[in-house]
Amino acid sequence: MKHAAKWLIVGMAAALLLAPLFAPYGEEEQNRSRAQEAPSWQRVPGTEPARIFLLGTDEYGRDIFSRFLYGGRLSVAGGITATLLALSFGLAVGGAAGLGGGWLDATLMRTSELFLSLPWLYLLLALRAILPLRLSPSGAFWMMVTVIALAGWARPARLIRGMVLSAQDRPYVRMAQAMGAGKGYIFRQHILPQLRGVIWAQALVIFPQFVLADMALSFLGLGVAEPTASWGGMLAGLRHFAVLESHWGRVAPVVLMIVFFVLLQMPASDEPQGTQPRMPETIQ
Amino acid sequence: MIWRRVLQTMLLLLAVSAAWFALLAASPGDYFDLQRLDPRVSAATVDKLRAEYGLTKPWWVRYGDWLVSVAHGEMGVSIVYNEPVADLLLPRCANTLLLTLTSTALAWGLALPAGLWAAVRRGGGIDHVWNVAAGLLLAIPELLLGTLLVYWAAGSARWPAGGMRSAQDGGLLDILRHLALPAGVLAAGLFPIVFRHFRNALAEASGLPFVRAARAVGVSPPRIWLHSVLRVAANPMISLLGLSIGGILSSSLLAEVIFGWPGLGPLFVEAVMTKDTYLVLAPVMFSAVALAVGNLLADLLLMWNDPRIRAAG
Amino acid sequence: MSRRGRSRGCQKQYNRIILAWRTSFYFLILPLLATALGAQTVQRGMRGGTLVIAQRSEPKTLNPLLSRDAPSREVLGRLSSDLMSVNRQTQKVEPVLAEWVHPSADGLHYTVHLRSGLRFSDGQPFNADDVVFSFQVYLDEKVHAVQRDPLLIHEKPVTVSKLDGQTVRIDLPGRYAPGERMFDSLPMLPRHLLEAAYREGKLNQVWGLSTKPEAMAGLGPFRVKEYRAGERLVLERNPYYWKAPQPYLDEIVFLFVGDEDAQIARFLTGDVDLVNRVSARNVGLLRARGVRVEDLGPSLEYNFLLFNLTKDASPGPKEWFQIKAFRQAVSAAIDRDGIVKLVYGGLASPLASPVSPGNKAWLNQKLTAGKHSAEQAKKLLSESGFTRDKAGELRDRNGKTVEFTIATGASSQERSAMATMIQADLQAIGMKVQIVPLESRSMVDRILNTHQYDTAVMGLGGADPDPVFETNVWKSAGGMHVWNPEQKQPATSWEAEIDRLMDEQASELKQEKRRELYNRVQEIVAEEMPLICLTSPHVLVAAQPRVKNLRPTIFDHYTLWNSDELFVAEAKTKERSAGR
Repeated sequence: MKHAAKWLIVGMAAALLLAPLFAPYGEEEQNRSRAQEAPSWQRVPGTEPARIFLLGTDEYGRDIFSRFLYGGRLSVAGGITATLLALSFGLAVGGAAGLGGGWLDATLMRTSELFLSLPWLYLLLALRAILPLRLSPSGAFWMMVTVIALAGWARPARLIRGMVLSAQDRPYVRMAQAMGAGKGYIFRQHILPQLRGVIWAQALVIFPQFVLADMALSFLGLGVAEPTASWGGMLAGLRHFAVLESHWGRVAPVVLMIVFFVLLQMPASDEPQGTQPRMPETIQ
Repeated sequence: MIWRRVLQTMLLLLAVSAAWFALLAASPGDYFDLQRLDPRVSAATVDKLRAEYGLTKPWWVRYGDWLVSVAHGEMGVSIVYNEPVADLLLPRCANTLLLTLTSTALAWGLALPAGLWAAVRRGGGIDHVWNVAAGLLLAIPELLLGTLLVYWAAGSARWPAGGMRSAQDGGLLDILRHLALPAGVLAAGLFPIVFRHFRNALAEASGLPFVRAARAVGVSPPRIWLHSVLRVAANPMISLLGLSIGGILSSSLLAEVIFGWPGLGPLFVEAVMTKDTYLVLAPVMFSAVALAVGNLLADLLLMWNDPRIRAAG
Repeated sequence: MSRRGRSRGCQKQYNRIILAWRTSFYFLILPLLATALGAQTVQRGMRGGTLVIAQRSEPKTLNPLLSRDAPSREVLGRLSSDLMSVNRQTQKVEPVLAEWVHPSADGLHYTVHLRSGLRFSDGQPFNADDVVFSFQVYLDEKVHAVQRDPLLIHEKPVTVSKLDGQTVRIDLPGRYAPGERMFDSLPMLPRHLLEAAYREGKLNQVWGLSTKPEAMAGLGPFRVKEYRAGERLVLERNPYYWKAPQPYLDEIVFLFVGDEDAQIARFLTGDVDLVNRVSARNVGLLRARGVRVEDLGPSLEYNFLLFNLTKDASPGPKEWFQIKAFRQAVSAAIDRDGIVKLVYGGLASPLASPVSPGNKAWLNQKLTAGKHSAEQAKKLLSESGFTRDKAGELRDRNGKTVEFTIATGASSQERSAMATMIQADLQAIGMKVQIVPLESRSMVDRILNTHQYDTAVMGLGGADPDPVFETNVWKSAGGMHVWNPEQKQPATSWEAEIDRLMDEQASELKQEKRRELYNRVQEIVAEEMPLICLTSPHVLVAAQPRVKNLRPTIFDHYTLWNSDELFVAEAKTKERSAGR
């Protein structure tokens, strides 16, 4: 079951990242005479253009299935990038705080509290407004990734720092220290393996944040700009009853997204979640 | 030790407020810009209004003014409402607390027993069921769940589709009916996190050597669970509780906006959009204080629960 | 009837026919005619009941001097009355608090005689002193009332003098075309409650939302009963309202619900009786549920695509936008009918000029909305030296790719949708256009203050059909002359011509001449196209069947302008049935 989930995830992610290969039509192509059509899986004679829209079309006549794939590419790539950034930074800070102790620990922890108190939503709004007008879509994308990373590093940092602190108390670590091992070595050899569970758990939490941030911004009309497709934008569209009522093809992407995120969590459901590290059976 | 934390918290509050002030000032436009679109009002009048409300002063000057008034116990006046910020916030704070306390109680009240059950029967069918449920709830964005529920309620004619009371005041029962859906949505978002943490903490703790030893010696399972395992598993839960307290005023923001719950959320969002600076700062300060207090409480509880941390810190 | 040589039998038949004709005329045809002509007769209403209306955001104040936002104005309009108002249905000015108004022959003086026995909602008498006080407050520069600027004619204020206890005279410093219309939406303030605060300079701090209802008073059909923060504002009948037995309603409740989807949700559950402005996209789902949604035709609002014609525009767009043929090409490329169909579901009207078809009194009937023609666009572009390269991208004379941005405000979903369609239309003729969503205030700041934008999709209008209220938009020195605001000297000859025409029509008292002048303004704008007029959305209103005497119009306030005539068919009782 876990293995099936893993392969399914990889498969879906690959399909999304390779959207241009799999998408039947363009992301922005408007077929205005066929707007708001329900999904049809065969060509209907007399319609112009004679195209098959697996999940129907949106209000401008764009193919929802293609936009789902392209949007997934943007959102998955954004999510992965933001997660990597946030976790690398969180690991660095948490490790430094845990190992360093004293004023370094205190400063870093207070800084992390500061970042936890600054809601990313307004950071995004403010940044979006200050930045130059001619921000290319990739520029806007990187801005969102950066802000999610900025917002997301604090919690893992705190958890990692907690684990590093308790790991340092372990007898085998003390022995290693007594034998002259440097802090870096101890971190790499003994502590890092314990953190695997926490890091993975945090990754699963941060990864969807990109989509959620995009969705919240799109609620306010400030998400990834049209006509670029994004999962957050498609989710935010459902805010309006008129969209929910139009046809099932508009709700289908949401179901697929939820399936994706559920599958994402399955391989990790049995992993330790940032609690006591597992005691190694043998002493290194 | 407490005094050090208090000092650090004050510095934190200063930093947070300064950061917010700077951010609000950095984005272009202000409240009176929308006035410019009113054909009856001339640009000259708008400029005069701007000057009268002090918006032409640089942000650090306005920040200083605000600090001075905070020192006197006042949190400033809202540009938009022309009323003291405190008068605007207090009634709404009460509404928000009602929502967050109810949903937190619901979530923890369900997640703790569920977590215990799943941990005791870990690996089995029950564990699986709970895990899948938690995973599903985690995967559905709270915003979306809320929207779908409002839509369903609008069609159901039995459930209220938003607000805290119906147009005809029905008293406590009316409020409870309106509370059900938003509290449910918030609890649905909180439940999987609490459940997962607790279940895994218990599972970890039950694998520890001293627990295994106790089991080998023949201590009865209930005693093991309640005495030893729970004690160990409490640590991460206490940290989580601290963070929950920290979010007591801010976690319900999106749910309030979707359900039209008259709490701090909608007021805050509109204040941010209209750049009503003092009205934005006050809830942010409250939340920051709540966060600091929550963390402090959590640390204190941790120290009480775990003698090792007491010795170290 | 003369007998005219008919036999008795024939005469009887003749009589019957006449009787039948008369009967049918009075009982069938006349009412049918009346209904067909849209003249709804005002029924005499039943007293009692509560009307609930949902607002998308909270009112910010109950102080008329500070009512800058729409929700506040919506509430304040029910709490106050003017000396004279424009009847929203007939568009004629009617005396309200005034019993009669005598204008002088030259239009420079108005003698206003108040009705006798009028009282404020707290029982205190209303007389000429209150009128003088109100104008004094409105015109005082230190108060910065929103009502001040419309009372200035050529920068000079009107003056009001008291003739006796019930009569005042208003003097205008110069001829002013709108005449009595300028006194609409100018509430009369209670001197006995506000004079003290005015003397102390604290008028901006009184009458906030949490003020006790007893401390406020007005002459409108309703007065404040209760305010619950974040939830609702309840108004109750003003027992001293001058038009007894009205208002029929006991109470009006304003619920704050957040956005249109919430308004609709609570309307469908029966919590809310009236949705004042429904978006086109929600009409289908409401009508599918049997809700009565009235389409009142195009509003006064006009949406447009605006070019940055200031000197601060960025290098590329700066040259292209100055070329008239370029602007006309963009207009030709835009598919307005497609926009009306897809964005508004047909519930909008394409625009030929900035005056919407809803403004029948001032629309230049000779202009027609631009036809969608990509060929015409390409022709105009190639004639101006633009070419398309191998990739299909448009390049200017110097080989630079034509690319620019369209800024949209986040608050209007329809305008963002229009931008998306325009982007696709322009891509078809080779222009690379990027849409930049901005928060509304940021966008306004960019357009009016810093001029850091290329093009933008905006909407204006809606206040009053009279062109005088658009002066700030059309005059080159105006603060809302959006494509190039606040010019010291008109930048182009056509803008100078518009300045001249607007000045002339503001003091021209003959309606026909004014129309001619304003028609010419519309012609110039349609020819030069500093802004490309797109659509005007229809005004759509939804009401529960129990709401009677609803006479919605496209003029603000669409549904509550006659709140004193509205009534509900069955009075709402306190105990509502549990399962509606």
